[in-house]
Amino acid sequence: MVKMKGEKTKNKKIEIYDDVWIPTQCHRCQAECGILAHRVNGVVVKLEGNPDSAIGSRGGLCPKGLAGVQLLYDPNRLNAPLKRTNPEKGIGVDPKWQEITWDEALEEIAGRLKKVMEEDPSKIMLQIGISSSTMIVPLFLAKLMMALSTKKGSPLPIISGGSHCGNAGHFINAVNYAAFVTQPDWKYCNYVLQWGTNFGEGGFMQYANRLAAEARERGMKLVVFDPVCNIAASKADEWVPLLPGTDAAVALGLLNVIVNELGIYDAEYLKKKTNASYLVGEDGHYLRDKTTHKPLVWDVKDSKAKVFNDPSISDFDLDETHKVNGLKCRPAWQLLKEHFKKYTPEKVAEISGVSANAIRRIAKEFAEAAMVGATITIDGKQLPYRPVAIQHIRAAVTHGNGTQNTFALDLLVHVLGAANVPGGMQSVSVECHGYPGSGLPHLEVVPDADGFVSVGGKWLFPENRLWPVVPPEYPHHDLIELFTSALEVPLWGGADREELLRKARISSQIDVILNFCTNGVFNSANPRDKAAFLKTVPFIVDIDIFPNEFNEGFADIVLPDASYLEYTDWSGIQHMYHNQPPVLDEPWCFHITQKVVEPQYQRRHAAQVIDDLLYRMGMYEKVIGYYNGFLCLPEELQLPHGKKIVWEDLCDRVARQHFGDEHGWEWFKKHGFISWPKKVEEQYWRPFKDIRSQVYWEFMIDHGRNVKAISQELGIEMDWQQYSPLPDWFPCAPHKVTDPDYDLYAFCYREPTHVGSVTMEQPWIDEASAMNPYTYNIALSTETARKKGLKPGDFIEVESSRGNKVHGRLEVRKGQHPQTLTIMGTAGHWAKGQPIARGKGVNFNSLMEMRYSECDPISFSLEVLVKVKLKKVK
Amino acid sequence: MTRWGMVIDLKKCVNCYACVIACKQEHFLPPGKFWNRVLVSETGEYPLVTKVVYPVLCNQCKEAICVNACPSTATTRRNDGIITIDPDKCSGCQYCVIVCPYQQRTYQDNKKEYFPGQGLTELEKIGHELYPHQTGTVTKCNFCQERIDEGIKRGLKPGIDREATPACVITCMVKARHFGDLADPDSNVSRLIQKRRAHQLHPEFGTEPSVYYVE
Amino acid sequence: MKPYNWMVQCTPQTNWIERRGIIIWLSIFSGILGGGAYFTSLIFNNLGGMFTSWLIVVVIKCGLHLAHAEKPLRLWRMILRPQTSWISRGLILTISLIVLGAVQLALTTWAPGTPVEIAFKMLAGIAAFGVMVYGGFALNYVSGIPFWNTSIMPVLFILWGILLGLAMLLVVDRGSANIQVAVAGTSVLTIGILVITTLHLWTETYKGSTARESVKKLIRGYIAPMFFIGTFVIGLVLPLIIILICYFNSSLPSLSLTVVMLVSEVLGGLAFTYCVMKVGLYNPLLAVRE
Ligand SMILES: Nc1nc2c(c(=O)[nH]1)N[C@H]1C(S)=C(S)[C@@H](COP(=O)(O)OP(=O)(O)OC[C@H]3O[C@@H](n4cnc5c(=O)[nH]c(N)nc54)[C@H](O)[C@@H]3O)O[C@H]1N2
Ligand SMILES: Nc1nc2c(c(=O)[nH]1)N[C@H]1C(S)=C(S)[C@@H](COP(=O)(O)OP(=O)(O)OC[C@H]3O[C@@H](n4cnc5c(=O)[nH]c(N)nc54)[C@H](O)[C@@H]3O)O[C@H]1N2
Ligand code: SF4
Ligand code: SF4
Ligand code: SF4
Ligand code: SF4
Ligand code: SF4
Ligand SMILES: [Mo]
Repeated sequence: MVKMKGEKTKNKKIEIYDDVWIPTQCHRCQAECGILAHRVNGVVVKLEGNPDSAIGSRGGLCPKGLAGVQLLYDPNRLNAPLKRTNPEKGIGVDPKWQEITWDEALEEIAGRLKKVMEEDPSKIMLQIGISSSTMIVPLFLAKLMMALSTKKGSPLPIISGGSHCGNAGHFINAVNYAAFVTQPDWKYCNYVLQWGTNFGEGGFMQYANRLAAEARERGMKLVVFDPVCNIAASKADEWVPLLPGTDAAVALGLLNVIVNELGIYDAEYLKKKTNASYLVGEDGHYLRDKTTHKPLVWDVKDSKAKVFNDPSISDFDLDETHKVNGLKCRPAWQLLKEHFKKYTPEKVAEISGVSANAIRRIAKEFAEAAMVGATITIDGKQLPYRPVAIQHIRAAVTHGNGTQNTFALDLLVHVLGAANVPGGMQSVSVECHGYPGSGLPHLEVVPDADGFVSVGGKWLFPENRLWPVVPPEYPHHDLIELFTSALEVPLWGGADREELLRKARISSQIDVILNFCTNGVFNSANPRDKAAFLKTVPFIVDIDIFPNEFNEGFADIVLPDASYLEYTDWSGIQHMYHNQPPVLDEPWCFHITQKVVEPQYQRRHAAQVIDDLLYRMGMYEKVIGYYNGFLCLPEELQLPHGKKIVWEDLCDRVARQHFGDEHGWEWFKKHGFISWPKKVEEQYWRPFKDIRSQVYWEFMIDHGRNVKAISQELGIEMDWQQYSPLPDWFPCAPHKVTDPDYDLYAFCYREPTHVGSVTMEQPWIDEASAMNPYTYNIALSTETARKKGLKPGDFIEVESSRGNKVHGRLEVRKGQHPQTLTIMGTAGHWAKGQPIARGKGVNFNSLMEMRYSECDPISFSLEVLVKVKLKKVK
Repeated sequence: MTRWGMVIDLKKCVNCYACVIACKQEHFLPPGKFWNRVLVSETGEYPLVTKVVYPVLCNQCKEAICVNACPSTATTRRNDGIITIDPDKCSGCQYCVIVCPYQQRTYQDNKKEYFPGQGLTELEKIGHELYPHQTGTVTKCNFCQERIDEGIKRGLKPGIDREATPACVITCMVKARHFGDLADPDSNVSRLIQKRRAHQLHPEFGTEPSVYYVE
Repeated sequence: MKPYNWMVQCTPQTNWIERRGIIIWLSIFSGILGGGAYFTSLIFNNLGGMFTSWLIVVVIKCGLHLAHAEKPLRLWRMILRPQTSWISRGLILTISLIVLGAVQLALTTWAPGTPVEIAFKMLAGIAAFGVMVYGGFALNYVSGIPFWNTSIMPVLFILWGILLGLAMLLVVDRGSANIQVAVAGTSVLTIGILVITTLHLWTETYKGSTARESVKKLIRGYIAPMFFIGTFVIGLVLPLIIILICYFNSSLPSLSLTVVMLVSEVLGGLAFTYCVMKVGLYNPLLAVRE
């Protein structure tokens, strides 16, 4: 800290007795970047990115990260346990908080939990969010799941806003990349087609922003398909506006041109790294070997069907019809190729509004950029070089047709052979051979029985386990057992929830909710419907750092958590599904979190609070067992039984387990992180392994049939056609609204300044948001506003085709599809406890409705598009 | 002679406002006061529209109108080109605010709280001690002259070593901002200006800005 | 203005007209009035007028400057950059007018006609002229505001200053007032102001979108009534009519009529300067977002 010169300053010079920079981690989003915190006289005065760390932007710090100090010192933070004294619950109801002691709070919670556990633990719901990192999973969710489960059942885990999230994307990533998240190879990629995301242009994960910017600078071409000229589009070489929800059609149009008009595809890759060569019979199923039950392929040289991994195969056929065991069959590739023909650019143009010319031109550019056949030598290893990739996350695929969208989009990669090779699409951290010496953390991609990508290694969280899809079962207390290809099933705030539960014959009674790190009424669609459910729950505990819509409206007890600058943990050592840059030059990099200041007031670190709670419930041994087991601590590092856990001691054990005795907690506190180079085999794992992706979804036939059978028995109807082995574009619910009054498609999006909804409360972010024309306003295309006789600044009412309304001020932009209306997604707070956030912007969720019948039947992604009309009001 | 300058790469900038906030954090600026901003606009007609994003800050003009206009000599041009304001000399007439065609100066007229009615936070309180702003004077971006001066004293190179480089430059996650010596034809900024044919904002004002943009 | 439109659309200057900035407007006007009246009084060698205008400068103008300054003890520093700063020059001129004016007033009272008195009159005249006009130059210097960035500004300041001076003379010293001169002066100046202002507005509309926006704001925005009624009707036309009527009646206007003239011209001058300050719009830094 440098002090300013000047008389006044001289007089004011204060004595500085504390002036340090502490390496730790930001936890405001999943990126968990390495940061340096500057503390002067006991006050955190500045945060900067850690320039030495690969996790982040190498020294930069995003606006959310910077605002972390204002979060730390916000006078509106929760500072003591609170108890609701107003028995009434609901949106906008004053909870009439009363301060209680930690003992009182924990005793009451322990008592309640014990009671429900004795009855039926499945009446406990554990609701989490995304905000404060992944520690939510191991230190809250997994621990409580383990501790509270009994023979009678186990608690219900719910991600509050999760069905809003890119679940369809996570599904495709799991199926074809063994990953949670995928990204282009920023180092070598030359052409990216980006579908409705600002991922590397203001989205989270600073490293992606940094690497994408470098790629653009080096000349990587970026084409953005988005209804709005968003930030990505403004950085792109070309912005292609399209009607929301039609991405699959455009992708299939591109595929048709690439494969059928241009005849470009990576036959080598399709043969060896996908199931394109698998023989498919007339029923759509693979032909399988009688004895091994493995799928068959056709060996050209021997003119004979062989098991797909038969070493004697010299060349896989992709083109001919065959007869095997008396059955007519063709390689899956033939089905796909023929299927693409349905999507002529002209037809696609009608659906999406993207011109046939544009589709033909971009298809050609993209296919040529893939340089099918080219190779590159890295570290002495010759690898295929396919410098093309795609990018999508949430908005484009969170529709009733979401999984089919991602399926179609992803084929653009596989047809050109661009998965997990230099230049192409990369999995984030699925192949990690660990720290030299310990081999930890360890992750690897392994083949399943049919040769498809699957994951191995002992550090995987259940969230990665979308593939292989397990067979559906009759639902017991959650539909997740039925819809097994979904990461979760958004039942708990659905408008047609009662109907669904009745049909599914599920008892919906929840007696206790433990809510952690999520604003579970504000972020789900629709708050009103979620509120109706929450009102039926007799006891709700929330652990948060702020008063918010959820706890003010519904919590009985609120516990004040410490924020990330006030606690210490090893989350960075375990979390790697988002934040390890999937670029060869970027080393593996694992951080720890350490407190910069002591927790202020009565705040306590939630992870330890949970341990304390379980201690009070007499389950401490279980906790110790949990840590020993979940962390797979080797014998010498196991926590001793019968002793209270000392937090930093546990941290030390985890550190030493992974990185050796010389890298204990004290070492980490000083250095902040550990780093070592990535290997080519880790980064570009695919060429090194005999593992395949699925361009033809044979599994969908049976999976769909099974899900449908149980569902129909229960009277649940969804769009079953979507369980199809070949990708298609399906219109989603808003496309089918015919009333001409509702003439606009409304959707929301995120800003670089905001993460989740909790950034709305930091004054700096608020000031920056006010500088952005669109953050706090409802935006229309300039042309549409003019046609409707509306002007910027007009106060308007937006009404959905279901009668839900929101109000706000109008702004206009020329760079927006004329048939759309947009709202920044995480604004419109009403909680009294967040005075900065309150009343700013528009709450998009109030416009939506979550209806299971309109969700994506495969991933259960929400339909986030709403058909609306609007009018000017006073 | 050194002349510090900045080059902002508009092809990289992602309209994130981190530079705005980092500057506020570095200098403990009170609410509502900005030493830099990000401007958003668009050009073209649908569908051939381009969104235009310009981060702006004091241009540290070589021919600084504000220096000429300042009656009290509070505003001066340092030898390294930084236009600086001595808070102890400024009379608060605000003529400089009026004459700056880039509107990069602000009058410190309040000691407002970031959380209105809730008192100053610990952060604001220590800020008043560590980086006091005199009310009744004009302030503006000073190219983080404290970082530069302190850095040079420690043998660091502004624009290369982060501790000697402006806060807004180092916080930029896409590295859109570059800082260096315009007088040195081999410096990072001079080469960028050359190579990518940089432009200044409104050169017609004749102030010779030291902040350049590349597209 | 919305924060996101700042310098993206035409952006009004606020520091010299809003909140405390109101005082700057008043002090600019008091410079025109005081300097103009002193200058006019000198031309007509009218001691009463000189003294009154001297008082206006000392009491009102300086008082306003003091009232505006949050750091009054530093005001003296503002004389330090006369080479380039119009504010420095203005302040030096103002101080000169106060000092030289005081000496000259004494000389004119006790030693009229002496070469020293004449010399001081010349010096005071220069100072008074400067006080009247420097505000115009200060505005003219602002390159970011096209509406101001024109040499018409100082010209208008001069015309207004002398017009106001004449009106004051009619009130202060009725004895020596010359109706012919008053009528001729007032008509020429009024018509001059009308013509030059119109010319200014007209040329501004060709200068680009910001200047046009300023003009639009002036003649169609919420300050249009202030501009048309305040400046034109009350400030210029009404006094002109009064004095023409008197002229055709071949009589000196009555005291009350001269007071009415003075008051309406002062109101007009206030309105004029207010409007000028208010429609000072900066050229946006980016292309305008419609
Ligand atoms: N309208 C609309 N709704 C959406 C979305 C959208 O784009 N638009 N996006 C959806 C998506 S993709 C997602 S992933 C979800 C995200 O939704 P959430 O997971 O609910 O995320 P946040 O809004 O960030 O809310 C997180 C809560 O955690 C609290 N918190 C922050 N830090 C800490 C901490 O250290 N400890 C504790 N205990 N609490 C903390 C905050 O105060 C806040 O109340 O929202 C979904 N909802
Ligand atoms: N800064 C910041 N970054 C974040 C987050 C955050 O809160 N803040 N949250 C993180 C999380 S949890 C998630 S899930 C991701 C979500 O990240 P994204 O998937 O990028 O989601 P959005 O920003 O909501 O939407 C991106 C774009 O999709 C466009 N869009 C909307 N509908 C469609 C459509 O049907 N088709 C196409 N092609 N485009 C469409 C919108 O116009 C918008 O420009 O972001 C992550 N990154
Ligand atoms: S990207 Fe996320 S983790 Fe990284 S600094 Fe920004 S908010 Fe923090
Ligand atoms: S920090 Fe960088 S990317 Fe963000 S707005 Fe500023 S210049 Fe642009
Ligand atoms: S931008 Fe304005 S304040 Fe900065 S040096 Fe130039 S004229 Fe002065
Ligand atoms: S406000 Fe201060 S810095 Fe600006 S011109 Fe006046 S004296 Fe100079
Ligand atoms: S150079 Fe320093 S003072 Fe200027 S805008 Fe950047 S951070 Fe602020
Ligand atoms: Mo998400």
